[in-house]
Amino acid sequence: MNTNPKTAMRQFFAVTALGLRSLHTRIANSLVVIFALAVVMVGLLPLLAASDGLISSYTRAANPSRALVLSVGAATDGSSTIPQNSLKSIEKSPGIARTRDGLAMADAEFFRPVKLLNLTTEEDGLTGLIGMGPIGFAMTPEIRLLSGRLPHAGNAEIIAGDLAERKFAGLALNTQMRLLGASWRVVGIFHTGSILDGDLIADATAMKLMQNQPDYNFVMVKLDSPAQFENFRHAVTVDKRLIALKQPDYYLMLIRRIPVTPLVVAYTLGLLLGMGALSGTVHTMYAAVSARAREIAILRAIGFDGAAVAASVVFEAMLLASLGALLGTLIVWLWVDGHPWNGGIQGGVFRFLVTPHVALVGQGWALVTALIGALPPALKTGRATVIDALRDR
Amino acid sequence: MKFVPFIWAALRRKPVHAVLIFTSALFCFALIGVALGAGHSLAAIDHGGRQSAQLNAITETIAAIGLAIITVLTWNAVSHSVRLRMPELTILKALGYSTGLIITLIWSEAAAPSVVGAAMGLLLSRGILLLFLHLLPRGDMLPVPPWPLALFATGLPAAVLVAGIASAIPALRISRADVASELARLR
Repeated sequence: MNTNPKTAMRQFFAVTALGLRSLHTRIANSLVVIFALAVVMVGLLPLLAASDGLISSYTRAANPSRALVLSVGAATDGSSTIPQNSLKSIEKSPGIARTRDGLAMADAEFFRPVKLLNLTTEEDGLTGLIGMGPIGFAMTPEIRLLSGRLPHAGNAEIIAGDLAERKFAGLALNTQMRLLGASWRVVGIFHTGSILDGDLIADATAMKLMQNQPDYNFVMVKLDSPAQFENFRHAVTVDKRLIALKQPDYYLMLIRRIPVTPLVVAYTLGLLLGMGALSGTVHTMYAAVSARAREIAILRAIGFDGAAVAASVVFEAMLLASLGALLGTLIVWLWVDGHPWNGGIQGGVFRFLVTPHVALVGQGWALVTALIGALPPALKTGRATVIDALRDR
Repeated sequence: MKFVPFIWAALRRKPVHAVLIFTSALFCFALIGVALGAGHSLAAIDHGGRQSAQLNAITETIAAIGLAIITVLTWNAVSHSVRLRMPELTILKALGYSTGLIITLIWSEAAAPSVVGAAMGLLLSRGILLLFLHLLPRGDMLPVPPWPLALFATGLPAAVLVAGIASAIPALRISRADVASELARLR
């Protein structure tokens, strides 16, 4: 390149402006690139939206001031068992917040997987029934009742998350239903904005009576402050059967167990679709260079640098690809964003979320495809001599 | 007229369009093969339950997307090729070649790389599926999809049909071209 950088930049802007002004003459070819990249997004982004939605639903449920006590070796709260005789020692551990009456904010809870009829697939779906005490409800202020009331202590009553009520049959307010061999009445619908929205919550005492089950699954505690967690953990783990985890760490453990299969499938589909879009981009940019042959020849003849012209070809391709990615992301957002899906490590319901991260991955994918696709015609334009450019015309 | 040598000469003269149709067909039919094969493996473990119907709907949608992309990309390549070669095609018309024969030649130049690309793409999809089953956690528990003979039997004619659909609009252009005006442009 014989031109100084400032001049090269000015040349680049001038050539790019010329190219964009004549874009309407190449509208069909340009629309092919936009269409192809939009389709790549429709193939790639929904599974990414599912992954981001599930991760987001777990992280929103995590509160650093809360901790869980599980049995050693338990992979989830549902597979844990807390012996009855451990509860008193847990409640006496340092670092736990106290109510105004001096009670430890520690709640022994149940988690039982339950099958309910999925309204979409008309097959059994899986979700969780959590047995929670009054202290548990006090520790979870994000449970906001949309209708009805909380379950009364000792009664066979449940409240359903709003996503669970949408997804499964038989969860309308005041409905009577059978779960775990007992009859329960739905007395409320709640919303938390997290993975809990796909679950059902009952009174822990009622669940204990219904199941004749002496041992709880886990204990949830509220800490005085997140900094008190280490003191609490030391005290709890004196009992070698128990472990303590901050709630964010527990959900991080669940997130790490999310299968990579959907992401592998998404990226493979994205790659195959992207390769198709790549060939379309190569062809479109060759056609663009061919259509602008006279213009490029004149620009080269009057002293414009080949690199500036080549860069403008790449820029045009990346602009079209970016528009295609935006269009595709918009289609995916309208199609799947907020859609409830029965899934997750322990069942439940989460929402697909088209997050900024998903949109950025889409944009990045499109820009890389455009960059690779525009390189051959750009290099051809950049390396050609003025005589070659005039001859091509 | 020597059909095959004519097409071969045209492909050699301007291979870029044929290469692009070939690569588009390769990856789009690989996508179709992977989607349908993966759907078959997953549906087999559902034993025809409702999940199978959902899976079939998803894989068929992906296959339809693949066909839509290859049709659009082939149309783009054929359109550009016809636009560049209008003088040559007009001369053929002036020499007495029927419009139908010229359209058949255009379609053949699109169909040849499309069919070859589709065949290789379907073979590639088999390789990708086997790699999937090997790499995915517990992938060895999924049944290996059978050799996609039925897929070849429908995929290759589909590639020919795609070339036909993609060539339709450029073919209309040829049929409506006025020989005198096109020849006048050559001066």
